[in-house]
Amino acid sequence: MPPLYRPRAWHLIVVAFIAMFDLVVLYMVLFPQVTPEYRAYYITRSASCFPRIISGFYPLGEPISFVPDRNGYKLDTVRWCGFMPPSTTGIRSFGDYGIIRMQVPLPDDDLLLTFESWANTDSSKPERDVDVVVNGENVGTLAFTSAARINGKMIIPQTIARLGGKDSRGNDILEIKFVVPRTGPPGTNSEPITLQLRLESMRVTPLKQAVDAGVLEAEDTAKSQGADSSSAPAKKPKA
Amino acid sequence: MDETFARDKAAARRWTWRIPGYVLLPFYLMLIGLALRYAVYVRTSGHWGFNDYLRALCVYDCNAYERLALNGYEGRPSGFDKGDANNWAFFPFYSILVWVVNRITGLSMLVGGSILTCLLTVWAAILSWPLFDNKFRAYFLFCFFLFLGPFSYYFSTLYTEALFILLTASGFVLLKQRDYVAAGATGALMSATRSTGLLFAAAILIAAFQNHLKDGGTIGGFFRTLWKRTDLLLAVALVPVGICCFAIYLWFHSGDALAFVHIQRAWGRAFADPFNNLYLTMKLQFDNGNYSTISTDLAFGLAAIAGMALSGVMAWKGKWDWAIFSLFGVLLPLSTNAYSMLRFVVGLGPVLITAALLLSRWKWLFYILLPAMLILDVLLLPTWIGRSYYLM
Repeated sequence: MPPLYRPRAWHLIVVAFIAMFDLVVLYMVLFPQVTPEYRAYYITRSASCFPRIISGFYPLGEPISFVPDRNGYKLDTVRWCGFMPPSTTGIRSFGDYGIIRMQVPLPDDDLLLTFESWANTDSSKPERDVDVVVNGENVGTLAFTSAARINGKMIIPQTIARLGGKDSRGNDILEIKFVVPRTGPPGTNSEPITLQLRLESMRVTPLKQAVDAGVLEAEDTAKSQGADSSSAPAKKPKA
Repeated sequence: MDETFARDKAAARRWTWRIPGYVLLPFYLMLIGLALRYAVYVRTSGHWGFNDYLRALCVYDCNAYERLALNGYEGRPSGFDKGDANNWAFFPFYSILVWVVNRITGLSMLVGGSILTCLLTVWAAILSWPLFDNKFRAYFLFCFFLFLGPFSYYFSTLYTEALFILLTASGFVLLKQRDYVAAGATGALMSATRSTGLLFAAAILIAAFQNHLKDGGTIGGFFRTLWKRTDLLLAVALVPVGICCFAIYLWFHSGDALAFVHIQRAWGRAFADPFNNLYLTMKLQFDNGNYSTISTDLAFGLAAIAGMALSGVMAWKGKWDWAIFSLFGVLLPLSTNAYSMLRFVVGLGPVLITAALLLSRWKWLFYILLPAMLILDVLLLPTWIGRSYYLM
């Protein structure tokens, strides 16, 4: 026969206090006080990267080098979200996209975006398209059919460049997003496998300055507001 | 008569000064293990500095626990290449103890923490003695594994395994003694050390049920009187208090009470079917055409299977409280990913005790295992210091 158990009042009093304590915790669990980017990345997992805190400073027209020991602007001030730190292979994207964010006073002119890029693909794999989206508008698409480098050259119209709004210091915000395709199903970490874009360098130049410097031929300006590639074919902008 | 009484009293007094073997054994093995690993370090690195040795042993999460004790919880996540990691994933109780040792003794976090871990392991071994039912050979094997086994570095540097095994052993001894409220309080400390500590709530209920049956009660009788068992109610309510305190702290610190769960994304952890994770882990190297070696993934998968198999042994032996605690102690981390399964399995006290009880049944196996573990301890130490994912 098991021993007869006599209930204790103090047990119930302590349990009541713990229950109230648990209710407070439940409230905190149900109502997190977090920033939208934290919620999107960690809680709902709708974002594929968590933004870094950066100044966004960029001397307009200067080439940025993402590879150590190469010439160019080197301060890590524009790598915002979805790109790993600079390395010998440039900055490597992870997740569904990588975003470069610049906070600069923009001139009354269109901009020319140029960059060197390559991806972890080869000619045995299907074509992988990378969309270049500036302030939410598609300005061009890169088509990776091999491991060869693609030198992107795209015009960002002034109207699109100004869509990003202004920061607290009055600078224009320019968000350049490289949207990469998914190449495989999620593994054990539930993260989809995506193409890894590697950016080695980048430059954003006012169009007039680019033409004056010979970066862009006059006929290029008239020809398209799209992607141009010296190493591999690129598609026209979708929008 | 008086003379006999005086003699008995003297004998009793002598006994009080005699330290039983099960207390001395872990101390001796701890000292031998420490000396051995230091000697291996000196031999392989050529450095004599003891602090350098402790620093070399402190790899991976050890650094995180050390930094946590030094600086507390970090702000906005910015760690790792993806810039999404920080130390919110690490539970606070162990680092609080390291911080307290630092405050009291003035020793550095590394030195104080390493000494603390060694002493916690010794304490864990001593406290677990009642769980061996006087089977000294099994107890010896268990202690040998902790201090001279292939994973001895978990029990000599800043990792939570020692503390968690100490609390687990205490909890199960208290359940054996039917002291449920004290066991619940121990469970609260367990849930402040690791998330799997929460599982101890289930162990309390199962142990109470089994004790009721052992006392001659019936299944129906247990459930009929359950509503009167205020001690069980309190014990189960106490277990989540530790993790709740951590959640409240995180809410004030980061705005997210479940930040310790959400930050796991930085480590590639997300809740999924644990058995599917196990399947994917087990077949990965074969998919890649590797049939000749054991990859880290396969090692993690095998560790998970060993943990589950030993949980089955516990259930077979009628220790359902141990079995459920250990089984879910394996499945919970496995449901997020198979990484670090070796460590998670080695950190489960009942798994180690059951393995020791099982493997010490045969004398020949016992005598083979001792040198085998010693050799592995020596061979794996440089691998651990070299930051091998294999042993993580």
